[in-house]
Amino acid sequence: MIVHLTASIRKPETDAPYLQLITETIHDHGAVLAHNWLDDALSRNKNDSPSNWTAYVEENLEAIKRCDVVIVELTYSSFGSGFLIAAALEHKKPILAVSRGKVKSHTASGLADSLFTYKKYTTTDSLASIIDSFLDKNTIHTKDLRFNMFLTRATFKYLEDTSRETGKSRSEIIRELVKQKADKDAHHA
Amino acid sequence: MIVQIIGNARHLTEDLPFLHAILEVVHDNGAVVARDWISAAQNHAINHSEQDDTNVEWDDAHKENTEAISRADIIIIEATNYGFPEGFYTSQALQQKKPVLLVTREDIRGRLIYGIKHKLLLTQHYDTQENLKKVLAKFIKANTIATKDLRFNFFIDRQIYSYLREVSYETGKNKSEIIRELLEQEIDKQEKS
Repeated sequence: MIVHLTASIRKPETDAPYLQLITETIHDHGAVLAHNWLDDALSRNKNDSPSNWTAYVEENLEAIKRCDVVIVELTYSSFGSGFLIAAALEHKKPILAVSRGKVKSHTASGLADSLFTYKKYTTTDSLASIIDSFLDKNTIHTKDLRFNMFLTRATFKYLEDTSRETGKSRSEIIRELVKQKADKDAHHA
Repeated sequence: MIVQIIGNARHLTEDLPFLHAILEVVHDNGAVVARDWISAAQNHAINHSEQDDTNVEWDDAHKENTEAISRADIIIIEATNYGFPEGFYTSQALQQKKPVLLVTREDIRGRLIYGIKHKLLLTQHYDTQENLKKVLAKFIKANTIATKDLRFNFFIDRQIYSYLREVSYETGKNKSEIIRELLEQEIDKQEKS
C-alpha cells in the first residue's frame, strides 16, 4: 500500500516525533510513503522554505494521485493542507486527518465525506493506534480477493454461452468487463 | 454573473473594509454574491469574539460554501489571513473549472500558496482599497460572459455543409440549431461521465 503523508511543520522540534511515529507505523504495516519529503523538511532551518514551491506542490499532487490513502497531520492546519485534502477527495482517496488540537473548531470538521476521517490524539500511543486502525481498514491485500455474487438466470446463461464461445472462464469474462469499465471511466475522468 | 467570496472570519475587523470593497465592486459590475457570509459573520461578531467559533455549525458552513462555489461563475478569495479553508476552497473551485482570483495584502512570494500554478488561478497583491478595486474590476470584466447570445463564426467544409443542409431539410431545424444541439449533447455526455 502506498501512503501519502502531509503536514505543516511549524515547530520541527515538537512535530518531528509525531511525524516520525506516523512514518514508522506506516512502515510497520508494510506500506510505503508516496513521497518522502519529511527528512528534508525536518533537517531544514525552520525559516527556510523549498526554493521551488511549484515543484513542491506538483510533487504532492502527483503523490496524491499515486497513493492508496492520505494521512494529514492537521495540528497546524494550513492553506497547503486544505488544498491537498480537497485534491485527495477529488481523486477519491481515503483520508485520515489527525490533530493534537480541537477538532470541532475547524472547517475540516465540517467535511461530511465518507472518505474523510478527522481524529484527535493526545499521546504517541493514541496516535499510533489511530494510524494502525486506519491502515487496517484501508489495506487491500495484494493477493487476489475472493468475491461472491448472485446472478440472475439470464446473466448466468449469458456467461455460460460466452464462456463456451470464447474459451474463457466466467470469472475472466466478468473481470474483463469490470476492467474495461474502469478504463473507460478513468479515460473520461 | 454569480460571484463567491471566500475570506477569513477570524480576522474580520482587520479584513472587513476590504471585504466591503470587494462587495462594492461585485455589485457595481452587476454581479451578485452566491453566499453572503460576511453579514452573518458581522452579526456573529456583535456577541462573540472573532476567535470564538464554538457555536459555528461547521457542517452547515462547509455545505453552504461548497454549494455556493458550485453555483458561482467566478471565485474571489481574500487570502491575507489565509489558512485551511482558503486552501480547500481554492482547490475545490479549480477542480470545478471556476476562474479564481486570490488577493492578498501579504507578500506571499516564497510561500507554498505562491507555488500553485493553474491557468484559472490569478494571484494578485494589493495595498489599498483603491488598488484592490482595480484588480477586482479587471478580473470580473475579463470573466464576464454576456447573457445575450454570442455570435460565433467558423469555417465548414463542403461535406459538413451538405450534411447540415440535408438534416436541416429533414428536421425543419436550422443549421445553427443542429450544431447547438450537438454541442449540448456533448456537454451533457461529459457532465454525466
